[in-house]
Amino acid sequence: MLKTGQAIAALRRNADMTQEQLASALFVSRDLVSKWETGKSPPNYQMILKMAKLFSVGVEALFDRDRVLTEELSPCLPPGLTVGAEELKEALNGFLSSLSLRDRAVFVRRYYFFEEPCAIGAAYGISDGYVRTVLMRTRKKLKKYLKGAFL
Amino acid sequence: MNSRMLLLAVAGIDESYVRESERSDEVAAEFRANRIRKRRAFAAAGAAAVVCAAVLGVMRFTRPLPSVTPPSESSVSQTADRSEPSSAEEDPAVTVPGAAEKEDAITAPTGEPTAPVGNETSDAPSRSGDVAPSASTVTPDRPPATAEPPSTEKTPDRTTSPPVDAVPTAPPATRPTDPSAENPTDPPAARPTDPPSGNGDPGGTPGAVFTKRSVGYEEAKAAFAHPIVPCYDGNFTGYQVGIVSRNGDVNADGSFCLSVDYTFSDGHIGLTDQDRLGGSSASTLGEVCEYRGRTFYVQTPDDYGSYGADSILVGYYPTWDSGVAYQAVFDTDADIYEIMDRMIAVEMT
Repeated sequence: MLKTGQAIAALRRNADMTQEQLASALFVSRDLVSKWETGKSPPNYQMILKMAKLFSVGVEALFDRDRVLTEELSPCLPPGLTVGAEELKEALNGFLSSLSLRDRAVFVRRYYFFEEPCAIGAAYGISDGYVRTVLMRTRKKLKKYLKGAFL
Repeated sequence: MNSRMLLLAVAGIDESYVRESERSDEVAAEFRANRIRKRRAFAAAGAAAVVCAAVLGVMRFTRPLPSVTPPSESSVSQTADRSEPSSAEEDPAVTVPGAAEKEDAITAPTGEPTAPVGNETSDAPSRSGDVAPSASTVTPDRPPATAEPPSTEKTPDRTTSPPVDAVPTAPPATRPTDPSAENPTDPPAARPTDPPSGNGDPGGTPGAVFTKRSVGYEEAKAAFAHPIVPCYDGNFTGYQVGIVSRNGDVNADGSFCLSVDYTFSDGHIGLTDQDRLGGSSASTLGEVCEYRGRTFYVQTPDDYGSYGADSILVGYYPTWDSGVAYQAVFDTDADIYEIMDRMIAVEMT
């Protein structure tokens, strides 16, 4: 799976577009497109959706959801846990019900919609650093919750 | 557990939670409300600490003080009760209590004619007795001595003491080799003139207290004797130096600057010289956070509740358990990355 930036560049070239043309199509600057492609700054989820539509591909082609889940959510699972997806889903919903609205909303935006912290921060009027802080604390709570639920 | 399983689990998140997350205004309003609530709580806690300190200070000065009488017998008996136990016990004699309270005790205004507030300057020779009562009252954590008769002076109720800051603890006192030094009948008035034990050994300073003083940048730099950098953060409110001294007399021989705090409206960053502390304040509790090429240790209330349910502690120890340790205590709502940025901004090069 290519990283997001590499995927954007590849899809753009396949579509025979320049960075300028892609920028125009998305109503952003060419510099921003360049930053996306070089990985200096990730595109937000809205932009990923637009590009997926523009290039007629699924979001998965542009965004590696597996990586987010593996890197961020997998460490929350107790080692050696052997439960089915259904049980895990129920536990996850039970955990979400125990959270405050704001923590829950941030969690859902990140792991259901796979939005970047900067996009979540922009939506809720908080800094992306604070979003990462909330996510870190929530993951810690999730780890504790799952440990209590399954072990 | 593979990512496919996780993907299925998150895909099954309840629809109501998904819709809820899309109501940005509602969530943003809750973030705002929570921020305001925390700020108010933080301000209220600060105000309560100031009020407690002021009340305590007034109470001290409204009591008949031995110092206003000739510095002879009354101060001898009381000081003996206070200072001898610390030399007789191996427990840390220089438990370092909260600074604000000590400072307030010295500077608290009073209308009492018997209280020589205007003379509260630490360089007056006759004032060792004046300061001593405060010193005893700000070391309530000291355990009772087993080798000494019970003190006749009532120690202050802890509940009346103002909140105590992060408490660095100095090394244990050295047990005196001369048994006669433990005799409570010895005139303790001579103690303040004992030779200082040196800056690195507060343990040799019975009755030592930790006093925080608000100072300017230059004074903080000179006192801490390290090239601290000035802070220009928008929330920055000032510098505080922490002085370990005998009986609160910050100008006495043997007193030394242990720490400097950068105070902010929502917390503070403390720099502690661990070499002077004679111990380590480094702690690996909490979550390790690698940020901008440095390793930070983030302790939330879940990890380490003693910093309070509303506080978060971030530690940074560039030279581990020697040299200067950086510890930030902020409101839990503070952005950890901003805290780390602030710590890096005040890092000495």
